[in-house]
Amino acid sequence: MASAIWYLYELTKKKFIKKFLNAKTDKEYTLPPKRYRKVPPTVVYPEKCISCGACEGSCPPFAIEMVYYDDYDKKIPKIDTGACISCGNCVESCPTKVLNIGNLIEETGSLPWNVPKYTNLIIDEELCVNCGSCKLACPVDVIEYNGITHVIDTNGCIGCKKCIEACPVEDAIKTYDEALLKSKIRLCYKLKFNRMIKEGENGDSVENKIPEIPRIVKSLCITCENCVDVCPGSIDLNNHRVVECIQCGDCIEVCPTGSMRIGGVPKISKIKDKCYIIYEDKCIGCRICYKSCNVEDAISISRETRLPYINPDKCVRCGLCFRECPVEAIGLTDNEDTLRIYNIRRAKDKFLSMIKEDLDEFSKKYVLSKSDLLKFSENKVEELLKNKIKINNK
Amino acid sequence: MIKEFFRKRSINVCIVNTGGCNGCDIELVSLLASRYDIEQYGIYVHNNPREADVLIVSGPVTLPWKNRLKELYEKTPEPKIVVAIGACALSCGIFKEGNVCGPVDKIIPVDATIPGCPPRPSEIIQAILKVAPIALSKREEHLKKVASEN
Repeated sequence: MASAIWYLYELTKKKFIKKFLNAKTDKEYTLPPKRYRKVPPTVVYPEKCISCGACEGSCPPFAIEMVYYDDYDKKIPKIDTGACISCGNCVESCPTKVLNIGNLIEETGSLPWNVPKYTNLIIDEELCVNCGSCKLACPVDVIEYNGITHVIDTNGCIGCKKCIEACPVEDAIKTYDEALLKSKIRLCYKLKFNRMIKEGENGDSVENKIPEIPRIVKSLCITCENCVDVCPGSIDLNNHRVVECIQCGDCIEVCPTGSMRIGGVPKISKIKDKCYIIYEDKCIGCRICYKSCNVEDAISISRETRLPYINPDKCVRCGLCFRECPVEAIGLTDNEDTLRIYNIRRAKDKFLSMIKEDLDEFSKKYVLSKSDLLKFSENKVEELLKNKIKINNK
Repeated sequence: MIKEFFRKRSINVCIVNTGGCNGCDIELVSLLASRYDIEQYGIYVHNNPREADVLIVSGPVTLPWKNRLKELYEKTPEPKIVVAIGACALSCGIFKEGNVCGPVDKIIPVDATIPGCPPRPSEIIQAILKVAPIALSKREEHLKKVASEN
């Protein structure tokens, strides 16, 4: 009985009748849940943006474009609503937390992210002069000095290329992106395939395309193993060593970062018209600049004045000596001034060293002849003495 | 007047996937299931372009689909509208670097777009219900104009 009343009560409810007559989906079903990310991310704090372009590089569908705005006097990301897939990569990679999508920043604030990016940066060990300009320019502090060279932490780098702008040496920081890696892997397979066909046709073919055995630059190697794949000999990537080589040059072609290398690479400065100069009236001769400079033969000590001078052909204008000098005796002037002083000092140095060498040789000869004379005279005296003794004995 | 009233309650839809990742198609399939149940709104999925009023295109237009999509569009009887759903159909999305012809609006004229990767089913229903009757009546007017000019 009681259940019959309950049934009657339920069936006569307003909601039930409404549902029965109007069979539409309930509104709460169609409301998006809290975790649902609305498309697209929004620029929450445009005034904090440093225009680094990390969001642009991290976007998989290339939906973000850096557009110049007059209101803020800088470039700010503009997001294409149609292309955005709301993955949240831009929010994760943003170093100043300018962007937000839903409440992703609050959810993931303390989690360690590997910054997603399209373009990777890597420092060339052989070209790096360890001046630390990149370290000062980096907005996320991922560049460290490891005792030999400066190294970019790949997981933290946002690919803003500010270090490339700050670096004084041309091409010392190299870039490689996904498209390049893809094309190099394709090239690798093509070369391998061609070699297999050739071997089937006319046996082993030894080629000598390059003059010497290539070496592996350790800091540039990203262990993609393209070279190991394509090499007919063998390459030990754990120790960064070429074990067997027939000098075919294929590994140099397929390396995406230019890590396989033959010959030397010159350190070319980006600035050509200006150079640092040491003012000799201010210099106190502490030689801190000479010790701190990491470029070979860029700073040398004059024999005449005992003060350092700069070689403008070798100097890369990194400014390390300028920063280290305790008495501010180093300044930036035109290239010609430095060259003039350098020429004078070098000519005098050459002259002095020539004289010194001559003197050295002369004194050496003198010492030698002196010792010869002494020996000769000693022998003579001995002979004479012996003769005398003989005569006496007789 | 009567036409408009009934057009709101019977929209025939043809779903075309031109080479996407099938994420949008799964959302479309969930429209057919009981939770959203697209047929209660008077939208019928036929997957036959000759019966359809609305072409729903998902995915970037790949090379083999370029001519097929044009054929499908021609086969659809007038008045017709095209709704592009998902990031891929709007701007190729993550397939921008791949072997694609481009977004859908490069190949055929698009009347409505639904962004998202993938869009929510409720968004799709909303868009079709809101856009389809208006767009179809506009399209018909336009066709009449063209016919009278000729």
